[in-house]
Amino acid sequence: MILDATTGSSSDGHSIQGELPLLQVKGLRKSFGSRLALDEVSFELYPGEVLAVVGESGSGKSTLLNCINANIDVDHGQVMYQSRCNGAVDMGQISEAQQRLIKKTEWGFVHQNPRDGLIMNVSAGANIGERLMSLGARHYGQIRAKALECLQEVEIDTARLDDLPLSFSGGMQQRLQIARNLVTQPRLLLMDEPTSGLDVSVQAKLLDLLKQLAQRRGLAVVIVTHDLAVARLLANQMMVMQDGRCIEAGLTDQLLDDPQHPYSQLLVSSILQS
Amino acid sequence: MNSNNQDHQVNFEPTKEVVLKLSGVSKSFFLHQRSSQPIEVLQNVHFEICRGECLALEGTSGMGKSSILKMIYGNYKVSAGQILVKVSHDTWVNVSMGRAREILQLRKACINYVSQFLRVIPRVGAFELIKQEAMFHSHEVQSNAQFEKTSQQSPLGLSHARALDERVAHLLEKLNIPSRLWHLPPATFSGGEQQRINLAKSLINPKPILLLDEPSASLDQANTDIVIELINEARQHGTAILGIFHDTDVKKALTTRTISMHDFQPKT
Amino acid sequence: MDNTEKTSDHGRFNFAYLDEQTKRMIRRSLLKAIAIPGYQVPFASKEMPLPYGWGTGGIQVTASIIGQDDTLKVIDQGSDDTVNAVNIRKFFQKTTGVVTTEDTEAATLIQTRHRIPEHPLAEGQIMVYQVPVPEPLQRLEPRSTETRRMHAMADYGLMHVKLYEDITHFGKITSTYDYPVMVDERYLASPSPIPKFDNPKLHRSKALHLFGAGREKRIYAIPPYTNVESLGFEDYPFELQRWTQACALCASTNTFLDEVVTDDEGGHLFVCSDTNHCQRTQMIGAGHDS
Repeated sequence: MILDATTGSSSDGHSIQGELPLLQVKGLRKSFGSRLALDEVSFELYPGEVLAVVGESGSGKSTLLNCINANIDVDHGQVMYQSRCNGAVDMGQISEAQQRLIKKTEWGFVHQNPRDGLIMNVSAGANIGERLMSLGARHYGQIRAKALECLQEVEIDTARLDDLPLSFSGGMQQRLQIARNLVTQPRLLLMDEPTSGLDVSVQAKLLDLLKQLAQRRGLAVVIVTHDLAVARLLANQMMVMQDGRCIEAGLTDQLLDDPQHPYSQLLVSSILQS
Repeated sequence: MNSNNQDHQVNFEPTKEVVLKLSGVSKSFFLHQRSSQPIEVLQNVHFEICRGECLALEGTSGMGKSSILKMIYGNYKVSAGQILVKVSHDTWVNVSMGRAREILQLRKACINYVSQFLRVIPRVGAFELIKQEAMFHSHEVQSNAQFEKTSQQSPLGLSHARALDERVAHLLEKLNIPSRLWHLPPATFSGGEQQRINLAKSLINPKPILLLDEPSASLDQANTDIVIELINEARQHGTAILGIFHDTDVKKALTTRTISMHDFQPKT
Repeated sequence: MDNTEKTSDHGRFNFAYLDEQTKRMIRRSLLKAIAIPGYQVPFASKEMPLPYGWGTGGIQVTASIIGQDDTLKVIDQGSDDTVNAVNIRKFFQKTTGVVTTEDTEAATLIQTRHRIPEHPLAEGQIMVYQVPVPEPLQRLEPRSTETRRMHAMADYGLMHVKLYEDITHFGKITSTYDYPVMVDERYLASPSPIPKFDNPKLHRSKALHLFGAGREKRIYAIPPYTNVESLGFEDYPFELQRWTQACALCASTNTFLDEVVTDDEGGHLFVCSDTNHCQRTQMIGAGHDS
């Protein structure tokens, strides 16, 4: 009797990659002064998986995301990433230039406030094209065409290509932020509360879009949220954080329907029934 | 008996090929907010199911029938015991020990689960919902490269897509879902219509194991008959079925074997 | 006209006004700048006898490298006889006693504000530019912590974003002066507010080009025979300015022309901005006519 996972399939040579985790977070620890914000957090993420990191304010979930994205330095631990061309990479050991390249070509980061992830005073097209231009794209027509494609994919009216994000609604700005990240075909998407602050109907539309994108493109996604309904809709795996620690992790539906830890049970039962 | 010999015989004989084994399975709930006393629901559940069988769980409410289905699907955690699912001719996966990733792959490849509730996603139409089950919840995860390929509409991709569309349409027609509803999100459908969409999601992409929790609960007689026909068809194709059926006619039409929940109640 | 008059005030100041320590400090910065073409080297800009914004950077660079045997030319917007050019030239005459000239060919050291002379420069000549804003990205990214990082990582996407925006909203790249350049295929630099017409003169120039920004306290350099490429897109490349008119004085059609208003009735004419070049062309023309 062999207790192992079903083997990854695929006929186009990606089968080896399919068996290795795309992202491995090992024992992350981070303190701010005397306060321990992250306490030995670890997880693995494979291509196509969506992991929701849930918790209340102060649980350390945003810190976790920022540590993975190397926005802040960790005190201890590793973030291993399976890059497209260079095999396994320790994000903490490579040079800043290499880090930036990976973050620009293989990762995406969606901020909670779209203004943090957009250049507000240049057009939508320029926002999307920026990554391409910083990677050396030098043909205006082609950059514009690619930007148009991305706008379509996030369901923004293509007539808005030359408009400034200032004139967009919150939901549109958020979708533009996503388009900006998608233009380089990332394999990993990190999202920090992408739907908070949006109207409920706008949230639903955005979540649906994210789900489709993740499925269509086989993206691995880490989404930080305090909203369990978002986790239920989008994620197939979930991690509950409290005081910087991961207190329970597993399948989203299992965590929501049969939580084991007292805190998870408290969190789940606190969802207001609509 | 080769389970691939499909004639539309109602008296199709089940095979001897075991695909699901439960042994010593127990389930208790610890509700920390309520009290320190655990709620025991099941104790020492044991049975096996073979391909081509339809096993019905018999018992009144509260005896843990749904819990068994949920534990097999990985929706509930197993408190004790083993749930073994066959994934290839010499490989089994233990769901109770399985990591999240393994259970997800199991769900993709081996187990379909029709619960009583249809989880609705805001804007996706019924047709698309069912189609996605066949496209994305199959064994392979599409890489960006594959996405690019299919989005460039290669002739191969197009003919696959068309064939799939035809299958989905055929299934929806069979289930009496009017075509005007196909592109509407099922949130506004009637209970019966939602239930049929739920079933369609499992029928479009047949897997070795099918778990049914009251499949005919909201259906009228005509639709119930259709559903019975489709489920029997699945069984004839070699699916192993574990079901909860309160409707005695449905139970009689589908079941090849029953098992009583009395044996699995906790001894107090 | 050449001015070979020596002044007696030279004895009251150190040669070229700056003390020798300051000159050494600036020369060290200059050497570093030449070693890393296009890279902005910080330097301890000194108090000069004129305010920021009037060319203190250029003056400090000139003062640090000028020698007794140099011949100095000073121009402002291409002309030797505007107020600023005259004042700066007099400053150096007073503090060094070197020979000054208006003839581009005769000069060894040329300090300029906002133009490069039309006459091609030769090996051994040095151009010193007065630079207001050395950081080409400043208007796009005001944080110097970020711009330093961009230079370090050679991440100049933001600059191309600006050009993209120009094309999107105006149909073409709108910068006509201070047009950004890539120096030696590595650093993005501002060529100072020279008209884009002059940018090609920097490419593989035989002369040494030194840039000084006094207020911002930065020095940078383009050594001779360095590749200097003006930014653009493949389908919207860098374009030179063109005039339909010729110079009203010397009839040249390939120089940078200034528009001069002649009366209150809208009368105007176009004349070469480079006065020395215009005079020479006129003289050559007069010589041919006779």
